Amino acid sequence: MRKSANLYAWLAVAVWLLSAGFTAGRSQVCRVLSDTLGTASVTVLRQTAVMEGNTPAWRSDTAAWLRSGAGDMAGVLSRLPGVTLRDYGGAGGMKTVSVRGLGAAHTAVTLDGIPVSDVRGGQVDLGRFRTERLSEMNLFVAGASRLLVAPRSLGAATLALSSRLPDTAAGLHGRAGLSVGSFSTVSPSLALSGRTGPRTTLGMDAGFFFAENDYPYVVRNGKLTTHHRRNGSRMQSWNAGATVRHDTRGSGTWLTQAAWRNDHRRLPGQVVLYDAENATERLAEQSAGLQTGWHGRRGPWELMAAGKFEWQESRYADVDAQYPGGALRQHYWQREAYAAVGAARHWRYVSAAYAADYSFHDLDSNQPTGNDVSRHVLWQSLSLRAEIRRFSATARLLAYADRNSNGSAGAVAGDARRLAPSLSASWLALRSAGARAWRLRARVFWKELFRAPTFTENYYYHLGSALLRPEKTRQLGAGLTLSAAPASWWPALTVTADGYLNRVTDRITSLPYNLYVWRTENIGRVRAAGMDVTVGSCFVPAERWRLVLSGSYSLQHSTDRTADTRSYSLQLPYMPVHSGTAALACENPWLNLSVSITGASSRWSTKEHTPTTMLSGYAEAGISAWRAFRMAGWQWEARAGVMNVFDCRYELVRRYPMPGRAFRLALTTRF
Amino acid sequence: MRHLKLAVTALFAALAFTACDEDEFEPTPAPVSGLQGAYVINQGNFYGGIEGTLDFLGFGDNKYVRNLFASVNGQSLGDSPQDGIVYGSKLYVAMYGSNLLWVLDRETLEIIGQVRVNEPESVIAGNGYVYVSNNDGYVTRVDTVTLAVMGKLPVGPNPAQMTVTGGYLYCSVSDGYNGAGNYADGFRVAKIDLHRFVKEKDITVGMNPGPIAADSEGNVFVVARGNYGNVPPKVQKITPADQVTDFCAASNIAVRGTTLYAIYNYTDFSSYPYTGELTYSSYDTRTGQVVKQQLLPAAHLPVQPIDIDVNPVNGEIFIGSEYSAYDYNAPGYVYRYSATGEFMERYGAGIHPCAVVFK
Repeated sequence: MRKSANLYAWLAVAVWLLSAGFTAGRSQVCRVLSDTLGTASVTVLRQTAVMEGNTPAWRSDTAAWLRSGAGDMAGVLSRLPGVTLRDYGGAGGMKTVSVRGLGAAHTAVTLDGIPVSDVRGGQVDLGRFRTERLSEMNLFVAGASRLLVAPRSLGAATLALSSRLPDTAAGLHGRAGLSVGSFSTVSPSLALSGRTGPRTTLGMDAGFFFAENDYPYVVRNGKLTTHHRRNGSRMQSWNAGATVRHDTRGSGTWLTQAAWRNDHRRLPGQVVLYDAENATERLAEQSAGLQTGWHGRRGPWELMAAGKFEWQESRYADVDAQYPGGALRQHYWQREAYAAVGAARHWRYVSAAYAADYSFHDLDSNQPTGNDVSRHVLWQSLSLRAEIRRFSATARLLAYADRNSNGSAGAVAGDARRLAPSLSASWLALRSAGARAWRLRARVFWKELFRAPTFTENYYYHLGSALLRPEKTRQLGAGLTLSAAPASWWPALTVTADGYLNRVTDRITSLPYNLYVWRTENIGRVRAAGMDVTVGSCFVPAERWRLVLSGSYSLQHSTDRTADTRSYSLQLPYMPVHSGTAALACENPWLNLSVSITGASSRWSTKEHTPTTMLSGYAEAGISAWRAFRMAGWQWEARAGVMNVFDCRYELVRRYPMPGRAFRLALTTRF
Repeated sequence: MRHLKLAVTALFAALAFTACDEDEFEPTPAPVSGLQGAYVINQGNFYGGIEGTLDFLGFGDNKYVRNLFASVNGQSLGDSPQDGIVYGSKLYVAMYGSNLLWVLDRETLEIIGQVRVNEPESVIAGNGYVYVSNNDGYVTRVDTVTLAVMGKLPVGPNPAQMTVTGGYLYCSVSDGYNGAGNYADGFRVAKIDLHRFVKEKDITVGMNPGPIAADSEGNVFVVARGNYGNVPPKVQKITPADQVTDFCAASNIAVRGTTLYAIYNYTDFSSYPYTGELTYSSYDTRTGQVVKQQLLPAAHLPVQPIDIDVNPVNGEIFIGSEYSAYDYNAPGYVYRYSATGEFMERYGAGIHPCAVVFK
């Protein structure tokens, strides 16, 4: 099995080499301005953001997701360079991403510019977002490209998600979709929008998702090979939302969104040898939130304001007679209030921005400790940017202060204050104009940042410690972007290459003292060195024909540097040294097609690289087809895809098998 | 017709072997355990996705063989083995994570069969049967010939370990998953009449009882593990008349004859920085007097003890230890000492060696 899986991995690399590269900002090179429904007929292209910015940013949108064969959030995330996806398998499995070896808690997530957080566990489960509700995703590793942003959105890496916004055209508009797939997956969605005033649009949407998730998997145990199904993995989710978009006089937009989500899922747990899945675990989550943000320009001034309130409930149960009362029940209620303001002044060559945001986090639970804790957090940022001819430089200084309180038994976490500077610069080294234009841009950045301990790390019963300090990161990176339009039939080529050296100190690490008592301390150190290479290209062999090639390759040496440990200098768990993705899409007047492959080299599930804990490399291939057409006066799009075509059996998290071959059909109409 | 004959023959044969009433069945006298060698059960790390292993130490050639179960059977032992016992011609291994009891050939280690049992914590034998304590609140009786479950007896939440003496099985009932509730439904040892397989009584003991052993005088010693905080562990003595007295301070014990071997490994986790103590001693079970205050030589102490077992034949002491403090992913060690505590050898074991079973 290991040999064959490694063979797949090498095949993946070979395919990548043959296909001339990998992308990231990939689809942007051939990015179509219109929505995907008009893909085949619209040929307007524009340059990608990654080519213009002085900080590396990888961007993908709905069109890119189609071309890359990414069927869901996990597929989209796994195609970002430098990203390690931790996926517990299937539609209901938790999905988090860590970027460039820094750990998932260092990845800030924003939705329409406003931070999304989970201060209890510190990692945002990206599985809660549905691609149907998103229009775009940006990954920043050296700070946001925009100068004026909410300070809290400036993580060591930032995954910026953008919602589908309501249609601003006059009249009532709608979008309805139905997606069905293997393992009893069904997902209908409906969105309506209409203009309620000369500058105001109201949109409402709702969706449902159900998946039995009972995909087959194989357990290989020496001479035994047994076949099973993931029986305890059912999931259903409801979501509804409303969006009001109001264009203010002058230039500026208010965006106000209300959202509600309700998930029920069974958690299959890890695969146990010799035992059937007991499926005793349940997780019910729901959240409701209201957020509003305004961003506008008035002359040389740029202003922003945002606010948010969110309530989250999580009810976990493990029904088993071994627990008191016959079940382990962990219930959590989180509340977050958030406000941000900021202003920027732009001069001819220089811009300056100041922003501040405040958030209040409150967590109640039924746990013996940490059941009534809260944290006030104030972030401030001062940013300066100079742009002179081909040179651009940005400096930021972040100031952080928090104040903790604990109304339950036990110590209160210490308050923290920190400053975090960063510098980035880019230089347009070469530029040529004309029909065969090309550009070469060089970039460099240095950034210090940190993350505060999560409430779990501070307070969890027999694990947390109130004495923790923030975990610090230092990042150094440099890169090149080459963009060109080599010929009329080859209108876009983008190649990026970025190298980095990251260090994590005061790493927050939990250690077992015995089976019942753990302790969390600031003792770990990590060094991550690597590079990300992306290639994106577009060919136009004939009118209304287009070939879009994209790919990315990441080399990542993320090693434990904690002194006097057996894991010193060993690759961190679940971090592949080599990973990559490639996709080739053919867009034409009849049926658009794409083939894609995603793979990674072998990984370890333990930091000590304990024998038997190595996860084999894998390569997962997919094919998809889609076509847009008009029928009955409405615009339609039909999609079909086969994921994991070769039925590769692999794991991203040990003992959590990923699905094998799966099918998906989707039909969307817009009116 | 031929099939019918075969079926009838098989039925009678099965009936012959299933007659396990204690009046009719007397087990073959067990070979003396502790002469040939010792099986070492390594728990692995379930949440790290590391399965358990079974090693063997031959006393004749002093050869330590890692992962013998997998070598012999060509498959993994499974998840979270906890305990084992050699009884008659078989070795029984309690697999907590895999929810089964392996039944293996004592000599070859080949698989004879498996018994489906819930969350087995420990296994012991007596009166012709094998008994399993189930973490979901039962003691299960297993027939050693048919490998059938003959009954389940509710004893209370999170039964831990067991010992047999005087026709009774003593099972510590810990309520160990209820630390937040101060283990309130534990504080007891269930005393089970082996002849009738009924619980005769609950004997009240200290907080969170765990390891338990009996001496040759019929006394039972149980470790009340406390709360890993301000209630330290201690050993209590239960006389044959069920009188309970505090005996000594220890977190893990083994008993041979009238000597109790004790590990006192206590860390007060109630306040930081933690303070702790780790000592090894032996006691006379009759008088409670210390036989040897510093049982083991300071130059050869286990790094982080998990388990202590004593060879019933010669009194040699075996202690399973982690590789280093708080390292649950690294292959650990088994330390071997003479009956008087002299260091003999250290063997490289599997991950989390939690039990030594003498063959």
